[in-house]
Formats: sequence, C-alpha cells, structure tokens
Amino acid sequence: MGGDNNNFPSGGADFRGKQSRITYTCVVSRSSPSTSTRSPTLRTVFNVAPTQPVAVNRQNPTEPTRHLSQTRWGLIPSWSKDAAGAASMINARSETAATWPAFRDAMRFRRCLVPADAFYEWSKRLGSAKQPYCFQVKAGQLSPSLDCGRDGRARTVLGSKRARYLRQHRTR
Amino acid sequence: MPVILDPADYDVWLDPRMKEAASVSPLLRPFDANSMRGYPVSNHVNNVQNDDAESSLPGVPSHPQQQLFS
Repeated sequence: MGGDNNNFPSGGADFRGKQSRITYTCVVSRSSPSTSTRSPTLRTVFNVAPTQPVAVNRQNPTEPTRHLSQTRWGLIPSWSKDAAGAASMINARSETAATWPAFRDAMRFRRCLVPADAFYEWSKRLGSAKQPYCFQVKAGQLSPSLDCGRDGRARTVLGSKRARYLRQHRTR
Repeated sequence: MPVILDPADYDVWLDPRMKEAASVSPLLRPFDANSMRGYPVSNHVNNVQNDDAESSLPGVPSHPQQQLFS
C-alpha cells in the first residue's frame, strides 16, 4: 500500500463481502485490442451486465491467429441442459477456478481475453444506498476471462478474490 | 475485481499449449493499485438499459454529505 492513492475514492467506502457487488460491468472500448490480428469494429458499449453479449478475443487453437467475437456473459456448465443456469455462474474466483468442476476445463483449454476500458463496483456505506464506482487502469489494459461454454459461446469473468485496490479503500 | 493481465502475459494466457492450470495460474494476481484509478458515478449505471456515456462519467455521490472524498 503506498501513499499514492489520490485517485481513489476514500473516506471509508466499503467494498467487502455482501456489501460489494460481485458482478462486473464492463465498458468496452471502440478501439481494437492490441492482441487482435483481425480488427472488426467493436460497438462502443458502456454498461455490459452478466448474461448480456460481450466481446472476447480468442486464440485459434490450430493457427497462430486471434480473433474478436461476441459471446454471452455466463457459464453454461457441461451438465446443464440449457442456458437457464448461466446467470448464476457469471464470475469465477481466481483461487478456485482451476479446481472447481464447473470451471476446471475452461481454465485449462478455453481461455480468452475480454477487452474493456473499465469496470464498475458498488460500495455500501453504513445506512446509505449503494454507491457505484467506475474503476480504470491508468494506462489502458485488457482483462482476461474464461471461455467456459460447452457450446463454445458462453463466458465467465475470472475475478481476484480480494483486490489490493479495494483494501486500499478500507485503510483510509 | 476482474483479473487484469499485464500485456506481456497475453501470449502465455492465450497459448493453447498451456493445458495445465498451474501454467497460467501465476498470472492471476491482483493488479497494482497504483496503476488504477476509481471515481464515483451516478446511479444511472444501476439500470443496465442505460448503455450510454453517462454511465461512466464522474457523478455526484449518492450521499455527498458523508464526504466520500476526505
């Protein structure tokens, strides 16, 4: 934790546990991700929620090429008969994705990147309504996710359990 | 927070030859807080139907009297 947190909301905003929303909303950029070898135009979207279409960058398994495509945000487990349960598997924990049955194979064989400019999280202060925050990487980055669908179309975002920048909020 | 990769790790993360989770798990670490910024936005973003620029614009905190920025 350094002292350089002037760019962060402070004053005790709490993002822990149930007070924090564990789903992520992405802002997808208009620009083409640097890892793409083909560059179709992405529609600029500002508010992508789980179960909605989201852009992903994938590696061709047999050729040294990558491509952008659109897919649905949410895991459809191999044992699921339909997409109805996908809304409950929208995020995976990075600590358990490798061993959790629902995510294990996707972690090994179907990884992808989700191009995004930012994500949102909601904090709750005592006795007040949830406050949404927008978080961005200063230099601009891509974030990875798991490509989890048995049909090759559904995705789950992989999350860090306890992010350092969130701890920074609480220490102020 | 979502996992955010260092661009230098994209190739390894997407490499189909990396078929063991242990090969890529080390990449899944929290992103450096000093390389990020966060700011409050308005409740406009709460409604997923609001897919427009206002969702990500800096907004007035819901309860400014609580001094979110000290």
